[in-house]
Amino acid sequence: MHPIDWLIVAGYLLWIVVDGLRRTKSSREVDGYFLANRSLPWWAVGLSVMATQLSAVTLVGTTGQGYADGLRFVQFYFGLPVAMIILSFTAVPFFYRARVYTAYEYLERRFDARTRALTSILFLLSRGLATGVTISAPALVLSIVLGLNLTFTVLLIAIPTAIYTMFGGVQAVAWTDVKQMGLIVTAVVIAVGMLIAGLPHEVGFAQALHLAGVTNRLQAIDFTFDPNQTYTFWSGMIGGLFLMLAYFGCDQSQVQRYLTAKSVAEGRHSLMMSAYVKIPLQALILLMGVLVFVFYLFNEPPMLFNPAQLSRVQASPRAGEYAALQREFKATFAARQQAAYDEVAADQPGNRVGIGGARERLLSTDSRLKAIRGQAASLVRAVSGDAKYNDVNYVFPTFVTTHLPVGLVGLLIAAIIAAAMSASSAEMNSLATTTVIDVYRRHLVRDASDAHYLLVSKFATGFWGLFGAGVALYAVSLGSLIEVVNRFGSFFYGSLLGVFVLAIGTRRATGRGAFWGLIAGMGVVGLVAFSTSISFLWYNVVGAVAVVVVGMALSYTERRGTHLP
Amino acid sequence: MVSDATDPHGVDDDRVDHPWVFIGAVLVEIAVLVSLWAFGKYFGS
Repeated sequence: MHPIDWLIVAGYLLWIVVDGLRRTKSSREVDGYFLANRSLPWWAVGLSVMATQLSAVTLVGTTGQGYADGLRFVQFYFGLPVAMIILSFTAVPFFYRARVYTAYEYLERRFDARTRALTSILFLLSRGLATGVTISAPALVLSIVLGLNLTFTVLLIAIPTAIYTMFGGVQAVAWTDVKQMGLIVTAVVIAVGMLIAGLPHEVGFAQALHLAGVTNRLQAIDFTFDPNQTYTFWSGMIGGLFLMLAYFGCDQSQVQRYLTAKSVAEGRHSLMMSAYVKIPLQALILLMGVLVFVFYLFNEPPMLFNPAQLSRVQASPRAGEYAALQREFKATFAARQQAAYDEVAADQPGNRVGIGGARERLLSTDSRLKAIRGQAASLVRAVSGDAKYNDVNYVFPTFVTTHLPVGLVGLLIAAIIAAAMSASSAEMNSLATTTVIDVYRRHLVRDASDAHYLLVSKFATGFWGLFGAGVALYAVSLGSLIEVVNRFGSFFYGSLLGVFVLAIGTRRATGRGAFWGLIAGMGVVGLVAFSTSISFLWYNVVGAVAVVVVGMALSYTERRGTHLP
Repeated sequence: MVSDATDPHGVDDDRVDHPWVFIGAVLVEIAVLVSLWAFGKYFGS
């Protein structure tokens, strides 16, 4: 990377850390440190909610999905707007009026201490590990694409984030999120503009979309009802709805965002910002991936986007096989490029005669290139022993570093780092809140001063920052990273949602029903995950329903038992 | 609708400011989904 690009990245890091540290003076008591004294406007909270969800995994992984698979992944978010409306009328007023610091604190008031303890420990375990993935995903990609040491890139993301989150608390998280979200959206818009500008002069935006459509990358909606398929209209609307209800309604990393709002109404409006903007923003990020694909129709892409694995194969005894595949890839690319030019020419008004089967040639050469890339990936798997090798996450960073001008490379890399920092800062902040409020203050030291809890909170934030960095160093080579994070959450998210449905939606549920219902729900999800091929998005539905059914059944039995003479 | 135990500080009223914000979100989602579907149909043909 050019020194100017490094200067831009360094300038961004300095700006964000200084801005975050400026918030230290507003965080001199626990209420200010964890809840910003409930003073933030809806638009800042709304941007913070979006920045927390939009991690670098989303930015880099989604673009890769757009490149390889088109717009289909957008269906994952179809349940989000409805989830936000439901939460605006349930979780937001309940948590806000209960004046709690964490969602799990509320469960003790409603049920009992053990339900609170179990849910908070589940959160600490899963979100603690997820913080590692949030940091490791971009760190790994940046280390390979930029040729840097992995420990360096992990620390480049984790240390500045931990510093401003530790000292500035939730105020620092929210206000840096606002700036990071601005940087990310600006970078995405510029990247889309550069992709369009980088197309050959005879290929305009409409022709680019035509080529993407011909190669089936603009089919955003699939109405097939097949629970084994991950991204369909129904899995997004139903499975996605349950996942979003669980993520925004039961995960402290999100609940804490809207608890900082000035009022219930401002908390509701902060969630509604995502309801309006999330699907179009995700569609834009996917479209950016689709445009990278169209760009590579006219500019030869690397056969493998992961240069580290490429060097490994070239140094192995199977280098000859790779070289043969590379030659075939080059020839097939030239044929596909010609077919793409012909298809554009055939689509011009007044030229309806067509150029001899351009579309068929485009589709067949594209399919052949995909097969060659598949063979090259198999070679990598055989040489490296990494059975899950997948290089979709390297597509966008490779495009950025090899095709964008000096200055914009720095801006885009800063945006990827910003996405990682915005998501991980909220995670560190919420992990510290749960550690102090649900564990330390509840079970260990109950009557200390506010200054004592504030000091412990800062240490807890620092601890989770180090923990995330430590996990990140080990959480490498996990396949398509975006799915890893989502799949990870789905194992217990649905069950957690079930507990909150019991808490908020019914008077009859008891603590015993909620506790054992939660355990039963996770057991059922584990059974479904290991014995069927149902897509992970449906685990949320299964988990939530199982908890509610078991929880209600136990609660009724208990109540009947209580009334027996 | 809920017991006191579930809403220990339920002092605010349940009035919803700007209900059109929520109705608008549903309408916008329908418009976005229809646009995405039409986008795929138009350019995929």
